[in-house]
Amino acid sequence: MDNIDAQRVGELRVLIAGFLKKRLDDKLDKLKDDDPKRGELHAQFTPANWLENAACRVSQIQAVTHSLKPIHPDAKGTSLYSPPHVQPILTVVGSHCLGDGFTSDVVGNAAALDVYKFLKLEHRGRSLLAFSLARDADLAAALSSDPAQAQAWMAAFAGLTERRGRVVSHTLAKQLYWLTGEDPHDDANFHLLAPLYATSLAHHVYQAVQDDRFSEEAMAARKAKKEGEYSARPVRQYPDLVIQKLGGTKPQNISQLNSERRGDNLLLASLPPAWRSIDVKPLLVSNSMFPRFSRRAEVRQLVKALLAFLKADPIQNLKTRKRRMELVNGIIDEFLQFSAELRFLPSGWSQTPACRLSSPEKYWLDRDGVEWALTSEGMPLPTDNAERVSALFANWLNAQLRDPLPMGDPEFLEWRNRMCEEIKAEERESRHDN
Amino acid sequence: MATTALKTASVLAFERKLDPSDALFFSGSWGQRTASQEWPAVSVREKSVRGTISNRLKTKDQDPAKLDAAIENPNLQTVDVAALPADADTLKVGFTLRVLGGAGTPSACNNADYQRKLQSTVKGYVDTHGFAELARRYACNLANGRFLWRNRLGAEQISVRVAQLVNGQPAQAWTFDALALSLRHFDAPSEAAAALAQLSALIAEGLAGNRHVLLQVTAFVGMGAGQEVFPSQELILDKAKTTKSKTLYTVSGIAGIHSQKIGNALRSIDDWYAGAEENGPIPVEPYGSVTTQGKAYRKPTDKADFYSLFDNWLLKDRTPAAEQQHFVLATLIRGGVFGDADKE
Amino acid sequence: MTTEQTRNKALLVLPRLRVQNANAISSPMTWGFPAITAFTGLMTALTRLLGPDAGIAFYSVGIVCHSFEPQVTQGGYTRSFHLTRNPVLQDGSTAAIVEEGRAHLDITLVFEVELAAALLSEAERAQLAAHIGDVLAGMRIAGGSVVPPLPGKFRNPPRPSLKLVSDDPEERRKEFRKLSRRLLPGFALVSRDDLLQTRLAELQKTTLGATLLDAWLDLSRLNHRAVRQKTVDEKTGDTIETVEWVTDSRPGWIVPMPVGFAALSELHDPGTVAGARDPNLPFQFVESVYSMGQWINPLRLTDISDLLWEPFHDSGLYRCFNAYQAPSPLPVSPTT
Repeated sequence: MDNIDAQRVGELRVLIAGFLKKRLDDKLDKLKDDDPKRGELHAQFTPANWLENAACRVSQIQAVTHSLKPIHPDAKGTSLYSPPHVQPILTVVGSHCLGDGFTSDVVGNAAALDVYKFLKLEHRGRSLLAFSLARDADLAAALSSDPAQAQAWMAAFAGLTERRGRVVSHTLAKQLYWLTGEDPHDDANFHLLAPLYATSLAHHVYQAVQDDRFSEEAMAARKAKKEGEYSARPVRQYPDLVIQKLGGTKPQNISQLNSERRGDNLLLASLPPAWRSIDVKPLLVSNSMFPRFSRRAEVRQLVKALLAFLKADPIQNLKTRKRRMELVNGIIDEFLQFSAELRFLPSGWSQTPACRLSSPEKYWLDRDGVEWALTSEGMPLPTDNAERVSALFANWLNAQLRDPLPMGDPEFLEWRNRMCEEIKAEERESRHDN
Repeated sequence: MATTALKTASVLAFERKLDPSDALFFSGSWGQRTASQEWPAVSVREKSVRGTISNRLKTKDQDPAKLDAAIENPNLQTVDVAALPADADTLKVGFTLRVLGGAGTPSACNNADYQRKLQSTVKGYVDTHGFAELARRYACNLANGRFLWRNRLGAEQISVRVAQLVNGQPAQAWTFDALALSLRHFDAPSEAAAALAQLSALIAEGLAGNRHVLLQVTAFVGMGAGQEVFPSQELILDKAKTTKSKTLYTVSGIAGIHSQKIGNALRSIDDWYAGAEENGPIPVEPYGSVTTQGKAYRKPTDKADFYSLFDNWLLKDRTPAAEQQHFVLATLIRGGVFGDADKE
Repeated sequence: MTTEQTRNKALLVLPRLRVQNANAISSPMTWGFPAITAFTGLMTALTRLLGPDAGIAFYSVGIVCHSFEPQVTQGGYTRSFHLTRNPVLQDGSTAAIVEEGRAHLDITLVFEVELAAALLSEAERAQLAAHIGDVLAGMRIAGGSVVPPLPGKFRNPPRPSLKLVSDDPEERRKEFRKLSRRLLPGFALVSRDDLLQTRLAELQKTTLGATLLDAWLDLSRLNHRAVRQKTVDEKTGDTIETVEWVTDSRPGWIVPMPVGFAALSELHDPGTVAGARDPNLPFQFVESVYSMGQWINPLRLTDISDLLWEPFHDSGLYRCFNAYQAPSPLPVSPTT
């Protein structure tokens, strides 16, 4: 009942014959004209012989979308073929995002990779593997005139995507417990999850990133940017990208795609803001803490937003007030974060001659250093520092907004009082704790 | 009762029970050791070096003009170096060591029968020997300053202070003259015997899980002002990425020795292998491997490796000699993944 | 989820934990701060270690990072990990290097818990908090060891605390503000699932077939775009075209992050998978799934729930959720 499309069969035959001829020629080229092995090779590469052999060897490899070896190169166990279309659509990113154009990987005996290359041959955009999976009648006719033989081969080829052997994990594989029930003390309330490496997904990301880094179009865009020229293509940067090597000097032991990536696994940076204690430097030379504070991205953004909001001259209602307070509170929050970073420096940094901050700033940012210096000289500690620092803050904020807004005393008082409340609350707490 | 042959669990892993922190470097004067809290950190700085012509010059190369040409085209590179300042003669190396109980209890094991056998075997060991022998050796490696590695060589004097921390404060402390202790054996000189015995007892209690043990170890190495000191070197495979040929380890800008390297020194207690007389103690490793020598002293062919001993002990009830039992337990304290997937 | 009747809700704060050599490879496609699942996993492990008689139940965990020191190479366009040499093999040859990424962290963990009635007094709570601090010190956090703070960081290192959560919203807000101040300097990790959806919608306007993955990548990188601007020369009246390169603005410190796992296989019955670490549990192959997160000044959070992450499971999706809702975007132009 199968309708055989003779033209299609013919094209498939040509495709297969071409593949075999190319491989045969490559091998023959390495031999001398009178080498007796030439005859052997010719026999090996007749379609019937090669296909029979390939149908046997296909069991040594497996097409996968998710592999185990990248988790640990010595782990042995199940890898999976789970194409995007069988996965549920999620609101988070995963392999399900890949369309039908995904690239599958292959694991197993590298000596059988030629079979994989054969099955990846495409006829009108469809691979021989897809033909085999669909038990395509035309491919059957192209493979062999013996229908039983052709069916057996196709079945073997279709097995490429099937899980090999029983389901196995490994002591070196990652396996984690996930609580699925209410009571974590009940052993039965867990699932064991074994993450595999999403090699098709990783490959897609690899190609996208490589394209952004090294393609001609990307290079041209970078050049345009450098020279201030126009480019339709944006310049894309992946800051702090890590290149992790999988498989060491033998990336082919991990998988075919890993080998194509030369073992490079790209890791996107997921870093907390880059402040480490080592990066926070004492405030020296400058006679105010605010220039450094103003340079922080969050502060710039908030000040800009506040300025834009006030410039638009919003109507004086509760909503406007709330919005304005939100923005000012945001700036105050950033100021407290900024201060806390400097307070984490080893105390006493403000007492060097290079530090030209005003006294209230020194006391605000290096309390212990100032207290030590004052008490050792028998001097009293300041009692109004909260007010003085708040006033400095209010002055600074007014200065940010004054051009073009007419900032004056009422605004100064508002900013100062808000900041002062925060500082006083903080002081009350730290007294209470000690 | 019919017995089915017991098999090694296919998933079997142990966490390390001696867990050191990185060791950090500070500098000061030998006479100011009691005020060492205030000592400044040793930092690492970059130094440009000219690559030297390291091959012996051939006769035909001994042409002055040719040599000049080579120097004009120097192989410029930078390396990290660390040294004591000119006014400091003493290196302070500080780290903490957490001693955890539960040696022999796997963090992962998927065979209940095996785990029961493991538990009873370890219990048998503890009932017979306790952790005294192992603790004594770990204590020695604190007291003798083995963890200082290259910084121990050529030191004029070394004082190691070990304090037990309780709620962040030192509860009791011992001081050792490190150079009076040998690196070759674990016999304590009489003047250190009492302190070592107390420290050993504390470590043994920690390993037994009787109490929470956290030690603060501080070594003062008198080496002379301005001397070079030796933090860990980073292992960077892709040299193309860095113009530096040597990168030293720092933590928050402070030169230091990797915790792994400290752990390696502390577990250098294995002198129960063939060849120990000449070679001295080596770090406890399943195959007795010594990376610096590129050699493994406990080969499976000699049935002296951890797996052979452990399997014989657990699976075949062939109890190893006492010192090999120590080795097996020390390997469990070291931790690792020991599952045998092929046995399933 | 907790219900109205739970009155004994409390916050357990484990402040300024220093974690050495934590796993910095958070997933097959991301590196940096350890995965959020490492912390929800820690919560479960801690619960189990304390045992059912401890009288404390854990619901969710909040993470504040005070400092982060990754062990990676500096300089150049890309980074690679500082590695450790493994012991030589039995034949004395060098073992293959399996690249592991490590980082040192200073973090504060905040757990939302519920206490048994017997543990409500201040003394009981203080004792339990100290005990949990001790237990945690012997555990691994994201594969790293808990070590004492670096020398010279604190005169008095802050202690674990366990405080009851007030029923009064105003009081709760005040308490949280107070807690947030103590989390400085530092940044809290919150979820920005919303950005993924918004960016996807934006991309789909211009690019046919844009996917969530495209949106994720777009948010994970810096995009610089050329913009043509036409100005009229006042003297000549000619139109001059200039090009300005602008960088997409980022609404805060945004990072790609793994948020959990999605099933790839059926749920295998207990004992049917060889090499499973526990033969008594159902077993499932999974892959990491990703979303966006934000590192935010804790003072910008308004409620404790903004800080907390909770593990969740529903038919093959295993992921962590956080309830933070970003305020409406700030009206700023894209040039920042």
